[in-house]
Amino acid sequence: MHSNLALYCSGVSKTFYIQRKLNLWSILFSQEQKSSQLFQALHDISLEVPRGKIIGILGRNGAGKSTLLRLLGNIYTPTRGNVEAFGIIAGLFELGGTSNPNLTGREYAIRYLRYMGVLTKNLASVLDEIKDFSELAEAFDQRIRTYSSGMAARLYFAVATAYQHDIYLIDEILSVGDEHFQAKCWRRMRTRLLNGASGVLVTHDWVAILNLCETACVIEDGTFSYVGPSDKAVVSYLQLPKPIATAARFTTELQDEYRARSGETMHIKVPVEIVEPGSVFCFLSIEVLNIGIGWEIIILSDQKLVHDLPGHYEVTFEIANLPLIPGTYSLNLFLKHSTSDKGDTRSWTYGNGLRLIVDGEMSNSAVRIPFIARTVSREVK
Amino acid sequence: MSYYVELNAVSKIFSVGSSVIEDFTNAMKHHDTKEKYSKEKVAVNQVTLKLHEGECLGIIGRNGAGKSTLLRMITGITKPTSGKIHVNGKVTSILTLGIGLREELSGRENIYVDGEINGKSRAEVDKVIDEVIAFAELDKFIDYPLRTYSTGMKARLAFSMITYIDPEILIIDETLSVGDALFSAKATARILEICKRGKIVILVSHGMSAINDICNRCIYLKDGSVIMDGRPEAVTKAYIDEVKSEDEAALMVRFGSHVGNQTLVPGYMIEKPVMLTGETLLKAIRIESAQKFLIRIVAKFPYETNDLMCCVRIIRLDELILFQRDFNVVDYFSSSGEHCLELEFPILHLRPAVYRLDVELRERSVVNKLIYARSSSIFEVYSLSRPAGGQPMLYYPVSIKVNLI
Repeated sequence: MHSNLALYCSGVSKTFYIQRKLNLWSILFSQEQKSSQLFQALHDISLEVPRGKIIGILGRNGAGKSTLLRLLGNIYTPTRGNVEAFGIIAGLFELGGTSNPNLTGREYAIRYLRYMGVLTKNLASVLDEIKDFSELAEAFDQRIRTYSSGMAARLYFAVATAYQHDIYLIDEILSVGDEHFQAKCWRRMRTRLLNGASGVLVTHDWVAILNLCETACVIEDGTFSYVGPSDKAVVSYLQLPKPIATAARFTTELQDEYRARSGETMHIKVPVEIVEPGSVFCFLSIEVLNIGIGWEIIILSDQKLVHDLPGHYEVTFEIANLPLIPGTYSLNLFLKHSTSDKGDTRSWTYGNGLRLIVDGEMSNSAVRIPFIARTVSREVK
Repeated sequence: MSYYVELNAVSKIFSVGSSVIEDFTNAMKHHDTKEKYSKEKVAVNQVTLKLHEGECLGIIGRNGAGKSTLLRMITGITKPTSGKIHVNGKVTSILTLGIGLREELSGRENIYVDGEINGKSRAEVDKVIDEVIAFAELDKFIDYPLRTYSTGMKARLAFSMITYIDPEILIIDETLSVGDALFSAKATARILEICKRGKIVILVSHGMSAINDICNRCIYLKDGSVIMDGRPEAVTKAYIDEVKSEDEAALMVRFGSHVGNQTLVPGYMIEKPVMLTGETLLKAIRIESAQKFLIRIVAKFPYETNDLMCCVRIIRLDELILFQRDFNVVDYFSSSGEHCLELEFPILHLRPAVYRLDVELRERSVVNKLIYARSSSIFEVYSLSRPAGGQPMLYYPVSIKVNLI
């Protein structure tokens, strides 16, 4: 019945008892027990993780992110509601909480893999792969307590993802380690996902959510305040203050949607009003936002001085031989006022972004780079 | 009296055994000799450093470079194997989250205990406790036992109480990354304030922007040695460049297996493409961005047929295809090899990075295309000027005009 689901929970709540003093005497005899306070970490949460998808969960500290992940991973039992998983779960809960620091990296890996049911004949090759991925070199045979926290993080990530599991529960892992290692983690998570893994990613790194998840939830005080496409979830999570736009602004005649043709010259006319005197600069960026795949800036213009004096202006952005392939892009416009922070912004991160729809001939590359092809005699120097 | 931290040729060497038994046998073998264990790891190597009042030092480096060991020695948790450390001022540190916090006590009680450890009277702590609680944003949790806190909440508490108990020399290891964006902005402001009062701050972080925002000096540690010391902007840039180039070197090795010419059907061949900027033949495969770029492709094939296509692709290191075109071989090539295909990019818009150029000779059919020959090569685009702000995929010119209306 749930053939397309990897993991789901319905109506899950988690209540913790807050006991002020944790000793046997008070547990057995104290009156405090009855009056001890309850803390509701999660309240009536329902979540479905389809096969082959990673659901992102964004939230501030203490919102209940980690509690939810532990419930899904069967580390906590829910006070109410139920959790069901269809497949083997590999959890990467707050790194390294589970290991014995007196094991060597190799011993830890062997234990984990055996527990996960890896056959002895496959063990050697998986271990080599882990050693290679984690870049621990000879430290792989030293005890974990001699590792720096980054080295330990590398080990835990490499071990937990060495094997293709059905469901990954990941808590902030992609933010551990240096940039180089993070990039490797990315590539690996993507491969696992392409091979049909599912998962839940808990983080406050919204770029990670955009790159891996199509759907994301924002959790606030134990309930979901937003569930939906991850770009909208990011907007809901960031809650960037709306631009004040009293010193300089895009006037209301600004269109929400612009159209252009691939390979032709694009003109975008933007009405601008300068209210307070001061240098006002205008620039634009065109970004591609394929949620679950990636977010990238394709074109970023220089900053151009509009004017120093109040008045109404029209700024025209012109891009010759538009190098974009057909599709919908996010168009972001920025107005910066030199002496005041009350400029204006139209950007998807503020929830007021504009759309650029490009028509034309389809292409199988990511962009359309202008070129000339000709035949020449090979003798030409 | 002024605060200072002075390290004089400080080294730390760990002996590493791989098991309890090995450690034990090593100890038995060597107990009567001066000889140390055979396996040693030099975590910090001859570091000399002097920090003065008001300095905020950032320490960056790859994992395992010795950053944490160095901090621990300055704090006094471990002693250096050789060298001397002089510290004038009381060192307060947030090394590992939650260490020093007592699980059974409430947040409020923890603040008092920590104050006492740092030599503050109850009255002194009373003066700041409301600020600490407000800063940590723990609300009702402040009276709950610490074991009920999430990791992020513990981090916030630890950071708040330590910065308010007026540290003389403050050491912070990676703590700022734990809190969420709003909290880390507050924490940054708080550290800047401490620096302004002439105190010394030492900060270890992987977040280059945090280092650039907070610190006024930065050192780059590599394999236990300081290899760079200076302004944070310069040092973090050098670090990022080096990490990237190491990354790219690794990728080039992986790509190396792809690079080369391959004949799959006898009689067909693609020569290594010749790349030119303007009129000059490129010796190295480095092209400056925004220049004219030419690629010349020479193919050999036994006879001319409409069925033969030449497919040219430019691929970014992360496998994103940026350029892909199919050309009719009969239109551009001759089987005698006299004519070849020249692709001209009047202005190369690719952003600085390493790219791969793939050329294939193949059958025209849509499905099950038979590939006759292929060739792959690598080129790098560089730029002397970098645009401000983000790194767009293309360095594409946008002309902007302004009219008064």
